[in-house]
Amino acid sequence: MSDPSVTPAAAAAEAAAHPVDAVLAAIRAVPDTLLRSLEPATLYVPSLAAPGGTSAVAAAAPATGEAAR
Amino acid sequence: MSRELALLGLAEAAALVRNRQVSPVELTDAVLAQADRWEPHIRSLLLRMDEQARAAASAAEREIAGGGYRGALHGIPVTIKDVMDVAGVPTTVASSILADNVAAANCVAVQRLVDAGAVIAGKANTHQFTWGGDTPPTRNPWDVERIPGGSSGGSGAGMAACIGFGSLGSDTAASVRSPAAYNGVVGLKTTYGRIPKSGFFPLAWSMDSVGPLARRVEDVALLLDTISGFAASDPSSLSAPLAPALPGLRDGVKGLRIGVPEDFFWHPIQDEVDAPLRRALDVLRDAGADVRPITIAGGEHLPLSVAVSFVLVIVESAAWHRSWLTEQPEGYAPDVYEYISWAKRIPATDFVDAQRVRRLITDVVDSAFSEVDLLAVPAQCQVAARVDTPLITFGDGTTEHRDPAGIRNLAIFNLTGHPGVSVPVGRGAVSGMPVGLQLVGRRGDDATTLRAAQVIEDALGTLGEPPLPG
Repeated sequence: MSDPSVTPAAAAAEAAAHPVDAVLAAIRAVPDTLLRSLEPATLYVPSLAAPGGTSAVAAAAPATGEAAR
Repeated sequence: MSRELALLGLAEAAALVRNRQVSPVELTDAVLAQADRWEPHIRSLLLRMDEQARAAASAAEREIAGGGYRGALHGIPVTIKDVMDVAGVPTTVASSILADNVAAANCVAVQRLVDAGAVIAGKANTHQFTWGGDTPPTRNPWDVERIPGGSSGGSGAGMAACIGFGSLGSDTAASVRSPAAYNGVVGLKTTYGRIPKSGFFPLAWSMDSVGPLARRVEDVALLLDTISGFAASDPSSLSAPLAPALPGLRDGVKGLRIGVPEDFFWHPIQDEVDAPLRRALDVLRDAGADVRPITIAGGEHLPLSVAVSFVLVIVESAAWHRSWLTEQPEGYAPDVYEYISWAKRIPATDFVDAQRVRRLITDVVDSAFSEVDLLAVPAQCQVAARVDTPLITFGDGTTEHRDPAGIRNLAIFNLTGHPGVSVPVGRGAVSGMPVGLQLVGRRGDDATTLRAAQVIEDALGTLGEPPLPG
């Protein structure tokens, strides 16, 4: 239940003033057209077979994660 | 003699132990004496383990005398950030909530050090729950009115003050490289998954990496090679064989393509930070590297990495802390409680969108490595701030709060999983505070980052021990 002493306008102003809103605004500014081309990163991100992975290390270890286990 | 021993590099001390010119007990006493000198000023240790360290050093001494020398870490005192379990002592993560959280066993990384014969001398301070860049009450030994960085601030300050020959830290958005840069030591954020995290207190599972700090590049390489490798107990552990760092450490950088992405990473910056960084690039160029300015395709998206990092770390850490935030709020420092509580204002859709943007940032960074072998960027664009100064002022007159400024060039590689090392390149002309260059390699190629860092260290030297205050 919301606090009846807090008006919706005051609550909105308070919410807008919160520092996390600036953080979220940066992400929300990414155009939908771009976001729609992106699937979320997996929780465990790395793949040693990434583009450009031409080093000796990458060549010696072309696969990680499920493929390598 | 005691102080001179403490100031050695790990590999140098190891050579003396191997040749039986110095005993592990002498080394340990030297490190503990160094702690006696510095700790009243910098408070880098949450827990001193003098008694256990002397016992372990004596055991190492007997074993070595009996012909059982195990290798370069045998009898070498090191410290461990208080986020990793060390058997028999508490892992508190700097919170009263965990004051009685005595570890039953060593975490995997610590166990590997112990198996190699290392002597655990103490638990290094961390910003509480690894959630910040100040690490109170630890101070920077180069100026005790300044922050040591964080969250591995105890490890960074302790290494600069020569309290131990190496330290294990952890890095989720900056936490090894920031204190390394601010305190003038070497710190490696390892490839995500390279060092198992079992027995480690998490901040954000998808971004956490264990990483070594030391005064010299070779020492970081030695620690890395000792603790790397798959562990089934950690679901994010990499099973792929990765090249060790030590064998090619002094192969130089001739022909190596090192990209300097001028946008985002280098601006804004303090002038006293920019100058020594440019000199370090000249060192790499003079050593035969192809150091070139690059424009990363899609680089305009990289500034989003700060916001994405905040969202992911806030939400992942809030998932861990949810019950404690409600039941034991008194166990949190106000800044930590505040940051984690932001999660209540982040809708799940924004979290998913942050993960989508993370994918974009990862693709952009990967694309850079199609044309270069390493990226060279400032570890920090500012020197360590004064404790009482939350705002950073850059050379162009712009200002930024030190928390986002402190992760600007660092968190991005926690999002992408790439390894990055901060190596000292000198001290600022105005403040006299250390400056660090970050060298970033392909995932799995931590070795090449250290190889380039070694070239810089060979040319510019280490910063040595700061003058003792007072």
